Amino acid sequence: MENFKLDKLIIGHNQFFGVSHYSSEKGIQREIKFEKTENIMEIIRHAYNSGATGLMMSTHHRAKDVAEAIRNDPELKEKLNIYVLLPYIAKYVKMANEKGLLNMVTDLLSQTSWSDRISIGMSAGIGVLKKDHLKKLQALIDLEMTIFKGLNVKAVYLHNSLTDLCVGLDLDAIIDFYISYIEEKYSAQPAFCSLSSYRLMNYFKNRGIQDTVIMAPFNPIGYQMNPSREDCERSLQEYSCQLTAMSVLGAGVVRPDDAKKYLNELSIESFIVGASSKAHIDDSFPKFLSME
Amino acid sequence: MSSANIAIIGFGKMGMLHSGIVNSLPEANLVAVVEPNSTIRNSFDPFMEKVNFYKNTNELFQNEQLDAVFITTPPKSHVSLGLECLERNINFFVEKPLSINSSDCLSLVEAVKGKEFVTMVGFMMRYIPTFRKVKEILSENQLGEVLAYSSRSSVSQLFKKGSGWRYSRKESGGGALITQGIHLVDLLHWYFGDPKSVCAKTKSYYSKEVEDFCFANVEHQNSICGNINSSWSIDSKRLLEIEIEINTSLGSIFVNQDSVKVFSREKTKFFKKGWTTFNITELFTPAVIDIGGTHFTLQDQDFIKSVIDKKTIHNDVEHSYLVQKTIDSIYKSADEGGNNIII
Repeated sequence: MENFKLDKLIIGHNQFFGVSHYSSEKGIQREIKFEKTENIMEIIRHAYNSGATGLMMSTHHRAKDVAEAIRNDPELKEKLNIYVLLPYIAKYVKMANEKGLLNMVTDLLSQTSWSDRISIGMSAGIGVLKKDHLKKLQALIDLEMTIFKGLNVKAVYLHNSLTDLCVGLDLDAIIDFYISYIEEKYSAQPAFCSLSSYRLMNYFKNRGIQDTVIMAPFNPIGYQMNPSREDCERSLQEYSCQLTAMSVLGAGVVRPDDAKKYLNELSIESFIVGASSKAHIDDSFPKFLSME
Repeated sequence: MSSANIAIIGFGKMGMLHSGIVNSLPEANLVAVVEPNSTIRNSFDPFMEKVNFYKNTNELFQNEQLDAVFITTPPKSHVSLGLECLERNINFFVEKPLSINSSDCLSLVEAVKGKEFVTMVGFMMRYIPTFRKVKEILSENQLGEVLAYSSRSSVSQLFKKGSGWRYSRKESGGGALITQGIHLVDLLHWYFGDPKSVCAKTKSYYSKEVEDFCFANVEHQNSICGNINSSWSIDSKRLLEIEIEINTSLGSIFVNQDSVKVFSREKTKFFKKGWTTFNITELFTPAVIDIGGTHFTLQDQDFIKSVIDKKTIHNDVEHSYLVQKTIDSIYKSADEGGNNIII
């Protein structure tokens, strides 16, 4: 999208829903702390007042309440940029384990306007089949996006499991469809979260797709940087994209000063950080926001 | 052979995961997928131009020259598919469990004996850096002699009646233990050797045919004693979590996917007195691609490299048979009201 620019500081959402990539024990502590939506909103408001103009939100079942609370806050509704992460993947893994992959998709589609659910004509040609399945994907995306209606959705990130699966399987048509559908239907920037940014950036480069928006781990200890920190850094220098760095604090072991120095060296201008207390925000946000 | 031609049999959740990984590895070529369900097959075939889709293994083997296959179908079909591969001299990876029970595995175990095939069973927890670190500590006796352990496998998966093959004992062989706890049982074999006897209790509440909770006491051949607690109906476990506490002559080790915490009663060559922690952030092992965790990638790469180099792997069919025997014995003990079962 033309004139799209990522917010410098985006507040993450994992901590609100008991997700910790560092420790499940920590995850539970946070889940208890943020049992009430008001406690989540208190942190979001404080983060916004401290300069975080973006908020990442997945489609976790509790995101609906947070979205509602933002809609009811005139200033946040108007000014807070929402970055959607689509979908909350653990929900689907659990559902697939509970009822099988096919039953899961059938059940989900039954909640949408998609009427001709799994009856795919065997005689249909490849083009028809492709179109048919992309329509189903549209229905599934629309189902997930419902909760963000009326919010200021700036970009929609495809969850890293799906981005990396699509890239791993060379599902070019699905990637292309995602880019055009998010842009056309939601007037938002299509974006990709990845734990394999080296491969993702090379994939886009090889296909001649430039100026994408990517969210991927970048930190001085190389945590979650596949296949290596050096490869990820090199691909970032060689490929033209807007990047939001995630895991910048290496799941809590990197000091904000060191993270800031590292991001500066790589000229990374946007980053997402989780914050679960006002003290944490007061301590780390000014450091991040003072970056050049 | 510098790269291996690979096919995936079964394109469900795990089949897709392995396909994405295999297709990304420089030493592998994903050439084909077998999926009997036409809805799934027709959903992906049009989008994967470089990969041939087949509805059964006859079509696959008639049309493709393969070095290895990944079997990612429900467990009941693993043995027959493994035998089909062996007949055609094709190495195979098979998702856990090897089958629904150990007697069902016997024909496959006999068939691979003495043959130069590479087989691997999908015990991916072995590729998680924290569990590997503990293997290193134990193998080098860094914290003295192992005396006992307690262990737990838990996930928030089932809080109402499930549907599909996972919840039919005939199709899956059992519930929480064989589906997810088997990763823990494999780690216990890897760490402490094969068990000698077990006594167990199970409880079903959400499921009719299989257990939701399993509790087992285990004694290993080398007289290490421990217990297993396995359930898929535990709140607030977003992802499967394996936790093991190991008590040794010099201290204790606490491990899960996030960290290894070692308590040493005295200063030793390997540890300071008190606590030493190894977090996943420092143990992190990167991989070519991360789809659902780098451990899957590292596992698949290990298998394919072994196929290319014709090297054997420890977590092969024969080892997996022993894991399956332990699981069978736990179920037998539970069925008999908690009797001690000699394995």
